[in-house]
Amino acid sequence: MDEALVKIRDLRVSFGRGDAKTRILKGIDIDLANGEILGIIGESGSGKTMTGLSLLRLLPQTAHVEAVKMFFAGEELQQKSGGEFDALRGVQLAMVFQDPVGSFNPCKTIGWHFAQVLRRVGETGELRDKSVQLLRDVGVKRAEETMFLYPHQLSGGMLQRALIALVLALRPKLIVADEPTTNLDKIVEKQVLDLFLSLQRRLGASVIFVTHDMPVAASFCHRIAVMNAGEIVEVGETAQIFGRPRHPYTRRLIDTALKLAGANGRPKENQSHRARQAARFAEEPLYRVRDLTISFPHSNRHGSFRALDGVSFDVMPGEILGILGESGSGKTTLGRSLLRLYEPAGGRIEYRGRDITHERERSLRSIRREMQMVFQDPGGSFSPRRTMGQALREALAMARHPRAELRRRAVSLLERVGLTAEHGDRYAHELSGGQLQRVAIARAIALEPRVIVADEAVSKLDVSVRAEILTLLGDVQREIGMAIIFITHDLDVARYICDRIAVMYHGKLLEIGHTEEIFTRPAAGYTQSLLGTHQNLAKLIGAVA
Amino acid sequence: MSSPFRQKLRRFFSHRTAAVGLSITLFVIIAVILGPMILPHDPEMVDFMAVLVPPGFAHPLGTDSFGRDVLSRVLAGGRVSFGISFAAITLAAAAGAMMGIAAGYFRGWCENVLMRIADLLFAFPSFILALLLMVLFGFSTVNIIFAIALVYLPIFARISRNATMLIREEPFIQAARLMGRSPGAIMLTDILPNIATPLLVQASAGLAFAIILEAGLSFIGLGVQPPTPSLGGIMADGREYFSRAPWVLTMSGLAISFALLGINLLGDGLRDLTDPRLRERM
Repeated sequence: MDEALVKIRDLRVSFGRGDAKTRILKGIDIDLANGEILGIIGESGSGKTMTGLSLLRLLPQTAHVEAVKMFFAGEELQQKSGGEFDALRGVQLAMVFQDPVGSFNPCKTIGWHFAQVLRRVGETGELRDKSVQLLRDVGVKRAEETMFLYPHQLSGGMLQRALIALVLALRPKLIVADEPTTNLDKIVEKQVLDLFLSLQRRLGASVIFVTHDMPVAASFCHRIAVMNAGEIVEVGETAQIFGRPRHPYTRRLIDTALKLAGANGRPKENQSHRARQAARFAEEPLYRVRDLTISFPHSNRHGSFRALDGVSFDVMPGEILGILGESGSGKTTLGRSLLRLYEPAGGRIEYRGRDITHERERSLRSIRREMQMVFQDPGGSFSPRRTMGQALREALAMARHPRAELRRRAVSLLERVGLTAEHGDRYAHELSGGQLQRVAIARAIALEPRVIVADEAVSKLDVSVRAEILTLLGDVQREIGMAIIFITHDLDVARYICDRIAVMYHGKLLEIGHTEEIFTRPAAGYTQSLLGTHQNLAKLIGAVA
Repeated sequence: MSSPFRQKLRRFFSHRTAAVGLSITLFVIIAVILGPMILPHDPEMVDFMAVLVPPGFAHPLGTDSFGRDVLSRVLAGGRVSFGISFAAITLAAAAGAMMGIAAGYFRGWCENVLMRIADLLFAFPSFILALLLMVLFGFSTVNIIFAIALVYLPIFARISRNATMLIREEPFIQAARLMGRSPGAIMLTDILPNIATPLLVQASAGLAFAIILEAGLSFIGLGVQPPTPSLGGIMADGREYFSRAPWVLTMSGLAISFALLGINLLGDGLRDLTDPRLRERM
């Protein structure tokens, strides 16, 4: 039987009507064979998530969906009534969402969720044993205990495994997976993807795999559809898409990803750069951190949780120091404690020879200006009630620029980061993530800092924007000469921009060294396994092409 | 070309709830301010020749047992009630927001002290608390304002504290700290505008309830003292001869309801309109 499982013709989705009508999908065709994995790649706003949601009728009520054809397993989905569709969805059609936490009812145990699903597919008898077996299948080690736990007691990786186990228990014909591993750490991501793949093979299910991660798509999917602005610009075998992309948009997408993943990173390893770097180490360090320990009170028990445990290192003026680690490794805590947003429980932080370990907030205020931060969430970095211009002028005023010049300087800052004066009149919600991050950089440099902590500053941005922002950050750094502490979990990004890299794991600093040293000769076992998961896009393309 | 202000106005009037609420509220405010100046009858003028006259041409809402024009009294009383409530709520919102923001921003002992004070005020039923304060301070218009303000203070304090705690870890607050701005400046320019929406909504609901509270106090004789008219006082008078002249009580009661309706609609509309994230969806 070679018939397509899914056949969609001319799928159109829009919101609103009349003048305010926004067209989200502009005529999408999708064919999916039995047992096939179709990757949908594209940037945020391209409509890739909407495609999956409209297939499962999960769009908000305000959406207007129409299609010439929407066949699933030989049946027209559009003719199904609500009740008929409900019988199909969650049994033959399943979905794995990006956020595993939101997929579980926080008031119920994991076991309860399994019981629900198993009953749904008509299983009877010892549901508990079956659930435990399912959990074991997805590599949950203490499966019996896990049954009694609540969702918040499991890590993101564990929850996503449990969710996959639930979906597999349904034995669906089609799984729509929307960025199922984007929220997970790299090492966990690889495990979960491998698991997903092996179970998919066993069940023979078809998968629509929505992702923005090129290496994942390249290694995981049989065929790939590239989406841009509500249209599929190109569909083809994975090898063809990555090896010989036909559409200019696809080519641009892959080129940007390759640029970041480029083996040599940015052109920094030249003579003058080396010389500068060597000279830097002769200087007095900007920060001298010794045995730094930070602890937070435990939420439910007495005692405390050590977010940082005896961390020692120096930060040189004008260097870009990467802090690499998974979520929960303490890298964000480290960045924030350098700015003394947290009070250390032990150890010492010296900033330009001055001990600021227990400095009071009031006296810190005079040096705060020299330490700036660029945040991960571009939307939250600005007060929703002020315009970009107001935010910049405020920063400039704090840096004691004369009042009369604020407006002019704010405009020149906007222009410096590649925006125009017109952006100064806009509010945060009227700008894109990339534009906001540009303004955030402008605000940081307005204060003429000595150090900027960039906390996952590009993680929430689209791939094509990511490279631009990194380049901007690098340029600004060279021009002004401040140090940047670049916190990231992304190996490509770290390699692209950082001079030195510190690897964090469970609150400890495992190793610190020059970027190429860390990447070519990692000393710590953890670093080696982290690098082992790293899928070099260039190599992958070579392999599939 | 339309200025941002005009855009805001247009957006405001395209929102039906807000527009209706504002119209009623404005009508009420204009009526209570201008009414007593225009109307021919002095609200305190006694006329024993026209006692308990039913609504008619000379007295649209009739007269009371002293022959005083009910319309004039309702408007004059409305002015007093409205003024007292507005002053009290403004006071409560300002002080409560200060307390709540400080508690939510500094946390620690500051929060403990401030919020326990608020809890203490909360522990009494609002009417009893207002009564107690009136008895302690003595009867005067200024004291009514303070009493009502104290009753509403903890509500504003709690709302501000919760809202502040929700946004204090937001990156933009951290960014403000990193600029070296003082806590006072951060609380005033970064926190206050971003928590103003729930405060505004609460203030409009509070305004309505404050009018009721003031009317209640005056109704039992512990509020505005006669012969100054107030809505509660008029209603108290009207109750005594309700069977003979039902218009006194009904008309003053309807006047209160009408004013409250306007204020509440306005509050709802403002809540929708002041949130920039909600604007685009309308």
